[in-house]
Amino acid sequence: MVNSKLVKVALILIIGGIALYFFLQSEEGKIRKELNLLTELISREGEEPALILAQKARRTGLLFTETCDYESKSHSYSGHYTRQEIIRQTAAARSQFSSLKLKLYDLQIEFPTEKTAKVILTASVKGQTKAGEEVNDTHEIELTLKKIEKEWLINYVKVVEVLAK
Amino acid sequence: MGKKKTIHKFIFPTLTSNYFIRVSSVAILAYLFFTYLFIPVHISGTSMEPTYHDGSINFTWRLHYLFNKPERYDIVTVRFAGKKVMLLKRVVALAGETVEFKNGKLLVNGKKIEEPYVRYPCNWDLEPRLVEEGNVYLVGDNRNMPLKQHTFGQTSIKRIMGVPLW
Repeated sequence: MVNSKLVKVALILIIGGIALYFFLQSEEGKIRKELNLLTELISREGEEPALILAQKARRTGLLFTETCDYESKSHSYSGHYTRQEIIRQTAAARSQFSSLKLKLYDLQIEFPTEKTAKVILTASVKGQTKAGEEVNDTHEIELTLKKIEKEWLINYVKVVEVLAK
Repeated sequence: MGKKKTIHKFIFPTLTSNYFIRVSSVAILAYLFFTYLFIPVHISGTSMEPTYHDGSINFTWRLHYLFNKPERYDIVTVRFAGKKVMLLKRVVALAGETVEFKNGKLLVNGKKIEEPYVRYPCNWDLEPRLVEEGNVYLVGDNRNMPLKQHTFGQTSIKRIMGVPLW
């Protein structure tokens, strides 16, 4: 009786593990994994050595295509950015914070073509600047990712404008 | 003795299959009810003061606009991001109307609109703009802040989730 229960539990665990493995290997799983990495690289807690800061900015840049478009009607940073510019901007922005937490959730992933993915998600940023200012901002974000050499890279970022003044 | 037994049975029920079916049914119904009909909302921010206070709790009644369209002065919840982040605002103008602010007064189609719910002083100035088809124009009741800091404007009716329950 005990043995048959153990076999059932083991079977459930094995099937769950296989399902998880295949999910992570799926294109959707890869995109989720990449966006999780993005949140880890952007978030920070306390002081960070300059080398780590630069390394995280560089790794963040590698999640984007060689050039990336950013569109936001409420911010003045809209435009066309190269990977190097993204790395510089990321390093500059993160260095202004003493703590920063990026959360990406409510992901909806579609594949209009085999090598293109469109993701709609909620991004929330919480933190404190070194000047002591509290930041707490949430937006709906639209991303386009391109599959380049088996890697999904962010090619377009749009902050969805819900209320247009 | 009988009463004691009943209380004991209520607190420590016999774990029968019927009991699990009842508990599961209640849990599923509660989930559906509070996910699709009455969505609990925690109001964060002061943009609807003094009508709604920062930190208060309410519910969004999802079926309010099942057969009606939003009207001027309605307070609505609008899907802002994903499924969880909503805005609470008041409808001040409808599709095809022009909206503007002059010395803090709201003008719709060039005529001043009475707004008894606006209690704090306001000095906003905003050029006239047309509310597009399928949209409504939303503003918070608290205009006692710089225009740039207040989140307001026109949005698609499709984004309206419902109305607050009270």
